[in-house]
Amino acid sequence: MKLISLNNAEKNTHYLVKDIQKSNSYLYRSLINIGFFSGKKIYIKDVKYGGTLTLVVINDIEYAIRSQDLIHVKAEAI
Amino acid sequence: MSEFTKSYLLIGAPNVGKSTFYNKITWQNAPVGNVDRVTTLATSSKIRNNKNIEIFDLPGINTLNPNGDDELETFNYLFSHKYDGVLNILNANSLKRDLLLTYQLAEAGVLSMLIINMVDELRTGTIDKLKLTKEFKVLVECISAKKNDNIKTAIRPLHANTLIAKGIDIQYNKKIETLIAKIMPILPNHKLSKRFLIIQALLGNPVVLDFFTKNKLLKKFLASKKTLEINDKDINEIYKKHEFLVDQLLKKVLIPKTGINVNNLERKHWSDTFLLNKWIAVPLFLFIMLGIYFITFYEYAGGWIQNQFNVYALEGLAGIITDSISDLNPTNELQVWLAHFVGDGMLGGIFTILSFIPWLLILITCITILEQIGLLSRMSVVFDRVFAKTGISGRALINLITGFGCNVPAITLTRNASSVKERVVTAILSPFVSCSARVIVYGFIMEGILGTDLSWLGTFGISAFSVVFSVLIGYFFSNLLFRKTNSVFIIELARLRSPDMNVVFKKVFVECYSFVKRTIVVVGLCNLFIWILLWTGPNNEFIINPANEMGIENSFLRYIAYPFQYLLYPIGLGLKWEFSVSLLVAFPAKEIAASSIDLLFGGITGFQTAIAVLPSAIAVSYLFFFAFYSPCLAAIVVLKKEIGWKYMAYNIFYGLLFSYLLAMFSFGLFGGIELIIRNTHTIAFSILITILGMVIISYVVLMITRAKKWPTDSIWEIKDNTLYNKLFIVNTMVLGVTTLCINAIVLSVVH
Repeated sequence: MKLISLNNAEKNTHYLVKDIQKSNSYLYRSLINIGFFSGKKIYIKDVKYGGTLTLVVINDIEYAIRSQDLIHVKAEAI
Repeated sequence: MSEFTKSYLLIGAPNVGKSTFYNKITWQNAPVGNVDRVTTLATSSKIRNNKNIEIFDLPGINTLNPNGDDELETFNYLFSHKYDGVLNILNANSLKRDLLLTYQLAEAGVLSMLIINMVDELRTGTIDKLKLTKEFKVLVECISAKKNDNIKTAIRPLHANTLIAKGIDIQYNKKIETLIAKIMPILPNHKLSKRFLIIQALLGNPVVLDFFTKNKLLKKFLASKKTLEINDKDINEIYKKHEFLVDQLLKKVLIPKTGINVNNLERKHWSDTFLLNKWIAVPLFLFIMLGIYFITFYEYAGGWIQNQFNVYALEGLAGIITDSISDLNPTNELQVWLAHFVGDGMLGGIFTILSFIPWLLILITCITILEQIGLLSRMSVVFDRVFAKTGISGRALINLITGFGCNVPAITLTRNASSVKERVVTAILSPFVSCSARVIVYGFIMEGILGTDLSWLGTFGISAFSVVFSVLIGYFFSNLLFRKTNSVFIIELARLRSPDMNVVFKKVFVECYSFVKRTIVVVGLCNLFIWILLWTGPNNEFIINPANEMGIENSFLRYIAYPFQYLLYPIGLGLKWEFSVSLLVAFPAKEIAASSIDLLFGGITGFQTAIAVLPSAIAVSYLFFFAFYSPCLAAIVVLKKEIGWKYMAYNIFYGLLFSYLLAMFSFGLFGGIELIIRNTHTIAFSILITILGMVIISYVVLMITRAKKWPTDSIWEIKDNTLYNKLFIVNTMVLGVTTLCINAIVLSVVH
């Protein structure tokens, strides 16, 4: 297991999210709302714009996520 | 509400087709689109063929812990409104996400029916409705709202009045169950179940916490939470429990087709390789928008249709009315005046505006198709890169595109913004995008200036500039008001779909109907008002003979125009008082500019003659000032409602200021170039225009570099006297003085 930021996650990889930094309450709550809570398996489809925007698949729905605050996740590849 | 009336709430995640279903069962026209969060306000209507059942269409919500104003509106309805049950709409392709919400609704005890939409797009298997019914104890129906499949069956239980709200209890860990047991007895009765309210309070639901505070229970709740040592890990357990239930249920409910391994499905659509690539997507998007303007305004496309419409529809109708008036055989002054009053005052302006219907029809059709196919969310992703630099998110692009149709829905769409900053800034910039009413005025003027074969390009140019200008306004306001606030961007990449032509036709019909209604009422009244002021005067002549056009110089309108004419001199529009009047009267509805040009100048030919001294300079100055000086009255009212007096005043003040400066620079630039071409004051103008160009470039560079140096929350807090500030002030002064010099010389030459 290693600590990575979501924005620097490797593309085409599944991650098991263990922890999300709660620095940005709106982003944190938005991610929780769409099912991105701790223990959730997400699929990093692609990483765009030099690590500032990420396309992820959460609960079979594809989302684009960008935050100026990095989201730190403890992740392990599945 | 009659005692027999039953009401139901439509609740579901964003972009699952709630509004499409609502439109089908109520015959209403709620906004729909293939992008998440189109509905931002609750609407309600009686179900078709049954006046005793009322349905509420609510904004999409991912979970019952609301985020943003649109989700809050939905939760407030669920929490405080009077209703008999909830119809939960789910997308058959995203049950894994949508069932999380279903479990919450069932836990709240308000779930009446499950409606699974888009089953026609589910290619991986089938859904076992019976197992879902067994789990939630409610009716389940699979439909395709877009294709009208099974809609009648789905609403049959509503007609039969057999729906009953049911609930389920979900068991959590010991600590949480102890807390529930402690709080439940002291919690007052509510429509939503007590277990649900306690769980929501644990998750930090602001509405529920407020309810606890009002009932003086918050302190006790927090104390119990602390005593039981309920921490983030326990709260996470709540999510995990829901997730576990969904996973278990899906294993039973989803029956995969033989030969399909769900885990190996390709997640990336092949077209996304192109549509999310900035080097392909940006030119593609520009090409699409250019194509829309070409189809709308080109002389052998939309121009031809407009021509046919004028020849065969409007001129025929106008002919009948003119013949009826001439049948009166006007003999005395009063009858001549009456014929003029009806022909020019009442009908002239209306017919001018109605002639634009074909343009409007094509423009709205194209924009609605664009919204329908799911391209907008992808374009938002691509343009987010640019928009993020201005402090707003790519989602604002959806507002800008919606604004091409009408600014009012674009402003209300800002309710889905992720923060106050984004909401205010996007609402302020939305009215700067050229709406269809302004675009048809551009087309009208461009046709007179550039001719029918090039007018589409000129119209596109001004509209495209309005988007760039809006983004710059966004940049300015996010620095002015909310410098330090970060923006967050989360958007669902909607599935690419073929457009639903029923929705397109319905929307086009509604837009055209409201355009005709607005034209007849607002434009008709305004035109009549201008006509009366034009043909009446204070010098003992209550009614001036319309045949005596010299009398206009003594009309009330001429006197009203005086102060505005002087104000518009620096931007070149003071050369004729009619310009100021046409801009002034276009304030309530932008289309009036075209009808006023018709009335004041005698049509576009008269306008061409009026600008003949400096055609490009006056036309560009007029168009720039017209495009940005103020939103229409309806947009101002909505701005006040959505973001308050203060920010509405910001919008009007800065709109007026920036449009004036833009018109002033453009008049100087184009006027100077025109006079250089004519060999008038060539050297003086060349020097001044070079200075103007250099100052504008350095101004832009300074703005960008300066922005990075700002350490404070807003521009107003800057008190330091750095080199940047000095350069900024010097640049501003040089820019202003140079422009005023050029404009003064240009005006003295042409006067």
